[in-house]
Parts: sequence; C-alpha cells; structure tokens
Amino acid sequence: MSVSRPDNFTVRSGPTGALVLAGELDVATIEELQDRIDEVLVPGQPIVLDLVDLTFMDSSAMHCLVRTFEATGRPVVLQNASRALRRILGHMTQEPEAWVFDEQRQTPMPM
Amino acid sequence: MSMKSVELILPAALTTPAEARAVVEAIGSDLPEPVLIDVKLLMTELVANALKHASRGIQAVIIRITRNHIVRVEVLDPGPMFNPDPRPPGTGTGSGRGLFLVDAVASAWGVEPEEAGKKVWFELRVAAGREGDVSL
Repeated sequence: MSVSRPDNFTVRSGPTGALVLAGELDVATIEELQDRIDEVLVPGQPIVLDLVDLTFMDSSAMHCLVRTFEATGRPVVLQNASRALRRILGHMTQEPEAWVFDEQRQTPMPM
Repeated sequence: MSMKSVELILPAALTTPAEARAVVEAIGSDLPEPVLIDVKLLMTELVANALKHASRGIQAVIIRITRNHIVRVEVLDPGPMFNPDPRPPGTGTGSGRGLFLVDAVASAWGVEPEEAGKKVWFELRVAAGREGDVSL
C-alpha cells in the first residue's frame, strides 16, 4: 500500500490554543491529526478542535475523537463545525459523550 | 434526475477514498446535499475496508444514480467474504468498523460473492422529486 500522504489535510495551532483543521479527515490523514493531538495532550484538559475549514470526516476521525476523550478524560471540544460535519457526527451514535460542540464558537456558514 | 453510472478501477492507496469522493462530488452534484454527504461517508467506509484486503488493488468502485432516485454504490475487492453483521460497539478494528455507519444510514446494503472476491454495496434513497417519479 502506498504511504503517500495527500495535501488535502492540514493542522495548525490557533491563537486560542485550538488545533485548527483544514481539508478532509479519513484513513489517509487521521494519523497526522492523532500525532499532533498526542503531542499537545494533557490529561484532564480538553482538546479543542476548530473545524472551520474541515470539509469531511469518516469513522477513523470518530475513533480519534474517542481515543482523545479517553486519554484526556474530557470531551473533545469542536468549534465551527459545518452542517455537513454535524450531519456526519450525528450518524456516529456509538460514543456521543466523546465530543461536544462549542456553540459560542459557531459562525453561521453555508454548507 | 437522469441515470448516471460511473465505474472506477482504483489502486490500493491510502488516497483512494479521497479520489472516490471527488468522483462522487462530480457526478452527484445535483443530489440533495444531505444525500451527497451520506454517499461520500458510506463509500469512504467501504473503500477503506476494501483497502485492508486489497494488496492487488480494489477491483472497482461502481457508483450509479438511477432514474428512480436511488443512489447505489458497489465496491469490489479481492478479499474474502464476511458475515454482514456490523460489529458491536467497542470492537473498533477489522472490516466491520465502518459498517456500523453503513447499517445505520443506508436504505439497504449487502455483501455478495464475486468471481474473485466480494462485492459490498449500499443504496440510499433520495427523497421523491417533482417530475413524475417512478414509484419504487
């Protein structure tokens, strides 16, 4: 299997301490996010993900959220999730306690 | 909505799900947004599952949007058949992982043996449109 990594995902640190995601999360890109989360993770403190430029996520992303929740003991805080991402996360009913939407950081946006 | 069908022969690469999504976006541009999102999600799960067994490449991803408002996606791979029971929560590895989503979201889905491997398929029903739709 090819190990090439597409350029369609980036993660950077935002000014408020959130990790700001852009692009698509799936089997090709999830490792990059998980590695970054593992670097900054502190038990007891929630990881905050700003999804403002994230356009897709699959079940590998859900597993990353669950793993992060288990490592920190706090739900992952999701900011600026699009309607598309909310729909996808709404299908992932297995461990809904693993993440929480930050409605204060929700800019209205077209899907 | 006209009948559209596309068959892709895809390599076994980590980037293959993204490639398949790009094709779905192109041919499904007139689908309602929620349906397009769900098709992309379920197809991604099936293609990712197929990649695990597909050292020789995924044989094909076939996407059909039919006149009677059914989107059907078939993923053929050379891997062995499996029992189409989605795994219970907590058993988060193996080919059953994303099948939870397929089972929860698809109108119908299944697994069928093929000459060299298997075919996993799902269908999503698009809400009835206006112009004299064929009843299902």
